[in-house]
Amino acid sequence: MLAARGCEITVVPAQTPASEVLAMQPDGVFLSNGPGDPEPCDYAIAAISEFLEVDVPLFGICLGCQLLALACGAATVKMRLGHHGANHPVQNLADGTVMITSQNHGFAVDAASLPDNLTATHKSLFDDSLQGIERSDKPAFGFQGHPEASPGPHDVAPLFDHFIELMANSTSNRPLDRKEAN
Amino acid sequence: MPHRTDIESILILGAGPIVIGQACEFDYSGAQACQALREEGFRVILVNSNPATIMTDPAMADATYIEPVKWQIVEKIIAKERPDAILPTMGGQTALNCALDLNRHGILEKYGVELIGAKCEAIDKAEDRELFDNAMVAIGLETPRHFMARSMEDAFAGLESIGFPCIIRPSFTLGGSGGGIAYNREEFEEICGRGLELSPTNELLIDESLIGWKEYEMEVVRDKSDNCIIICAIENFDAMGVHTGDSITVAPAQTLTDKEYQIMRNASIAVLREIGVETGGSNVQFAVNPDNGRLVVIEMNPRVSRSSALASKATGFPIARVAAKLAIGFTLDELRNEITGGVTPASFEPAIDYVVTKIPRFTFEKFPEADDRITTQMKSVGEVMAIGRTFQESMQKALRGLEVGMCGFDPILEADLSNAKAVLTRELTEPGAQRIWFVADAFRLGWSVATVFDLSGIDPWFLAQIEDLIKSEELLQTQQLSELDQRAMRSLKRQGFSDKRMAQLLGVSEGEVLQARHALAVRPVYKRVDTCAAEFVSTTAYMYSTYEEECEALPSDRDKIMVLGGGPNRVGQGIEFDYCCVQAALAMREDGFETIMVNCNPETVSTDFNISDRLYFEPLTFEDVIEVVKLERPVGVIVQFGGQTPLNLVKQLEDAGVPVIGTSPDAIDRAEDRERFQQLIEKLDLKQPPNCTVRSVEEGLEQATNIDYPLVVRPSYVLGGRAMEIVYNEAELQRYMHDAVKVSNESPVLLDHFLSSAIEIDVDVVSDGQQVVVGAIMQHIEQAGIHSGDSACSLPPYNLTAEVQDRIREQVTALALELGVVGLMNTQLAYQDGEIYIIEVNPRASRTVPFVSKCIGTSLAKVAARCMIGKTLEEQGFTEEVVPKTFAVKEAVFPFNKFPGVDPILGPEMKSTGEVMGVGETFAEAYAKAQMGAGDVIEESGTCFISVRDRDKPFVVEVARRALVLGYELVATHGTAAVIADAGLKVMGVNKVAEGRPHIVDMLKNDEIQVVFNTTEGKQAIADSSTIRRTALRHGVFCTTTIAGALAVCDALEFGNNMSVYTLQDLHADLHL
Repeated sequence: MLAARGCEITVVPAQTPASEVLAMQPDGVFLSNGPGDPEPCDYAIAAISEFLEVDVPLFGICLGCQLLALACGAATVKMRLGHHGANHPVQNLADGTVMITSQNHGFAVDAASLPDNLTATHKSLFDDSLQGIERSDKPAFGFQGHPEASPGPHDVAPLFDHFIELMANSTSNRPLDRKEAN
Repeated sequence: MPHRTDIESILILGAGPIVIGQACEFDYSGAQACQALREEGFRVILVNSNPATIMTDPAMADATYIEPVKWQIVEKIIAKERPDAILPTMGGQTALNCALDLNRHGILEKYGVELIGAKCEAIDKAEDRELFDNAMVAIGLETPRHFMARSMEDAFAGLESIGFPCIIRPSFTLGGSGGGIAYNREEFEEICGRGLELSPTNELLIDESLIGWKEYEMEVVRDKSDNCIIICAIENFDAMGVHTGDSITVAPAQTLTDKEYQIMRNASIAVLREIGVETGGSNVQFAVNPDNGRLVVIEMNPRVSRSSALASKATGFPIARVAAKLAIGFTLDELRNEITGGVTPASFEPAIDYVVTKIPRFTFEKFPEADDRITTQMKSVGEVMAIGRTFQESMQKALRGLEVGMCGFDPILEADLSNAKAVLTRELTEPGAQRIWFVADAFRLGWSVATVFDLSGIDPWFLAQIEDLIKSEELLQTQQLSELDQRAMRSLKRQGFSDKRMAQLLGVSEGEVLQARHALAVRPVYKRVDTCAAEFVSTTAYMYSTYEEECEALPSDRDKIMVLGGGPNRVGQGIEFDYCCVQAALAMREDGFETIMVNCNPETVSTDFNISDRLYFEPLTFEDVIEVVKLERPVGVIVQFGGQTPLNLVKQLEDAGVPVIGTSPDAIDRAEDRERFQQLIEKLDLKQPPNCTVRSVEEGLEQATNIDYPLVVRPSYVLGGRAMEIVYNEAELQRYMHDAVKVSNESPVLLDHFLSSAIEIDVDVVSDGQQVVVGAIMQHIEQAGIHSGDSACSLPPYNLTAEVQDRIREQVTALALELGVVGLMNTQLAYQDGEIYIIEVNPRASRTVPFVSKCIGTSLAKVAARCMIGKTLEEQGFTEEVVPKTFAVKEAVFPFNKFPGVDPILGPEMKSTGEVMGVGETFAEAYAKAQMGAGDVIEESGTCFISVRDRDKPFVVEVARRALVLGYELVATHGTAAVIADAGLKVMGVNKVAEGRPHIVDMLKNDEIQVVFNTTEGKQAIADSSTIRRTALRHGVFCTTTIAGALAVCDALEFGNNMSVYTLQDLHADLHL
């Protein structure tokens, strides 16, 4: 999805320290999916906190979304019934639109725990659980489902465009060597 | 956001009579829409001319008009009711066309009525070929390449862009006749030449051929906030070239990768957005070239459709219900899916962890002259659906549910056929109704998947599945029943083999297989259609059988009544029986029973989730029914509402100890068995036409002279008058017994003296075993000899004396009491020369029950169901016949226009697919409306052609006189003309076809005739005159084939167009004043 949007991608192991990542001068950092309980991943939470401090654009999906939330001070919970399927309706809270998404998770961000600077952007129409978050003060957001999944519908693919947009905005002040999106 | 509050009343347009291509699925969608809108507090006004529907039950809407769905009539309803909005998307093409007509004639604007669900612009954009093409181009999708040609030069010029093969269709010919597929220049020139001549506008539409391409349908729902979800992807088993209504279809799509599926998903959503369907359900059809993956959009329907009914039943998502809610302003996120008890949201795309197969049901045996190849024009009259865990299981369940005498992949190719290869090749390439069985036969002969694919275009994945089944069959044939262990038995059942098919292959009886299977403890379990593949726990009570470990049925310990449905629709058994099943289920639920429905017809209301407490979507075979009975242990099973289908199971069910309630199987046999019936008639001192049962040709010829010609002849035990004929002499009888039926000891033939000038009468009664109440006496318009299902009838009788009616009442009451009827009984009688004859007694629901119920304001089926559980008529307060003060006429609707070449003459064999009802202060008004509802347009001026058989000559003068008064010129064949001229009336003679040219058919072809009154009898005379009727049909000229019909038409024309509209609710209120 990122490559299709013209990004040059470097994949690093989960436990890579933030400093090493930042040394590569990325336009944005993508936090990938899981599996498992996000809470024990303290190394990642620490790294994400550092990314947030330097305002590098962040996009997390699934576990990545939960880690972002933890790094922002929110809490995660184990769900009574997890979400597994390629047909789950998720609502965009800003405009009310409904998208069909792929889902595969057993933990979720606790909507009641969000700090003031972390906004809920999406919810599951199945059980109202939190499906998307965005920082109001930083170029960082996350989505619980899988916009990248195959098999699965393409309804939430535009989130990747949003990520590109955040990177473009944050780099417009910094003349970095970035390939043109095509 | 809640629903709109700026509208309060909504007019729903129904689909009218059942015709090929538009069947009871629109009763299902319309009924759901009525419920969905009323529960939100809207005033619902309904118009539908079809009395056999559940949606026209008076409790379904606030104001119910059983009136023609024609803009002229609907305008009167709008003027009277002043609805705020019209919902035109629930009643098929009929409703959409009516909405467009209302718009075109300025009615919507005049009364300030808004269309909801689909706007005119969207409907136009979806239906107009050019607009649709442009719209698709705008969103980057392809449609089939095509062009219009007005000359041979045009045609050849356009050919460059399309190539061979191509499809040529002359514009504006009936049923697309005169078109064809060209594979080379020679054929192209020939078909185009013929087509240009045939087309009244000298235009040809030439399309690139998509024959052999894969075909898919996507069911999409969209709300006003642009939220779109896909309910179901349906794959056609039969490749392009076969109309999707005539194709075997499978859900979910089986042979697409996720990538391909997602492309189609995105495309179908884009189509809805571009066409502008803002609120509701639509279906989008795609074709995919199997060689290169090229995807084209074939069409989209901006309304609920046959496919959406199928998709609803296949997924457990009520599309029509949700579409109705979206039309009044809800969005998907505000709705829950009621089928799952609200566990899943309406925006949840159903997940399917089973395979659904639909197989169409054809009725070519009714129309022997029709072309029995299935093509791009729909010809099937019904369908069966089956659910299984695998494609194999699902397909085999569907095959046995079809009720065409097959219990699976029975061989149909005659053994030792010398030209087997040629027969198979033709059947695979030019499919008929039985192609699926020929596919199996090809594998039996060792043909490869590749060969069968090349010939049929059916995807190799499907073919491999069938080939595998045939391998299993071949192995089974070498085995003994006793060799089968539990593992082998279970494996066969998982492949969907019926006990009966296994019995055939093993050379044992069905009972032995069942016994062995039970001894091995191989029993079906029941899974729930819960829309989420058991991801979440739901309370949905919609189930199907399969052979796995865990049974999800969890039967309750309540008192249960089970209703057996009617299976796939066919000519002779259709929506009327489904109506009765639904009424029975509703009554039993009202009385506190848990109700269980068993049926396999996806078009029906009876298979709607909220009609019964539990729904088992199963074939109506003994095996499938008995397993449900053993699991649920109902206190009573009702078999008399589903037509002949459940009655055929009665004996086996009773032998198996199933508590069948209502009229006893013995009483049913007494009415159906000719000899026992004769004894019954004699015992009651009643009359029936002289008759006998014969078991050989010789016996037949001998007995015929005793009974006297003309004779009604037919095989015993049939519904809908299959293979029934009237013969006038010995030669015809001989031909019949040699060619039409094979008479033998096992299949005797019945001979009845034919009462050629009798009035026929239908009577429905209900009885509790002690008391009998007449539901209604109906007088047929057409005289005896026309099948009762095809004859128009009047309730109350329009020219039968009170004294005769009373005698009829006495006789049918005596019959019902003697038979010990508990429930419904239908009797057909004939009245001739002061005598009443009993023609037939059916101790079950008849096809007139819904019509009668609408006329008398009481649901006869409900009353009957309550009788069966022991409630007396006294207790129910239904003790007196209700005779309406207004007239109601039921008129049959025929599929002749779908079968070019078929003689549209009426006879003892039933041919109609549906019916309409017309209501009026007078018989004439009611009859006129019924004709209008049936879609018959009678030109009110011009020339009327009359030609009648000798028997009718005494009546022809009256017809002629009235036609002249109405302003017609008269033309008649010479014999008829002489009679008319003798009466001093002005008439012009014309040649019969055999008398030389110019003849009557020339006049018809020149559009010089506007009305045809043509009666005839005898095989030869009928054959000689058939071109008259066929030409009339092709030229849209109104044609009636009985003298009584001609007189009724005069009544209707004399009445004119000044019709009033009546609500059922008002009519019923008047009954009890």
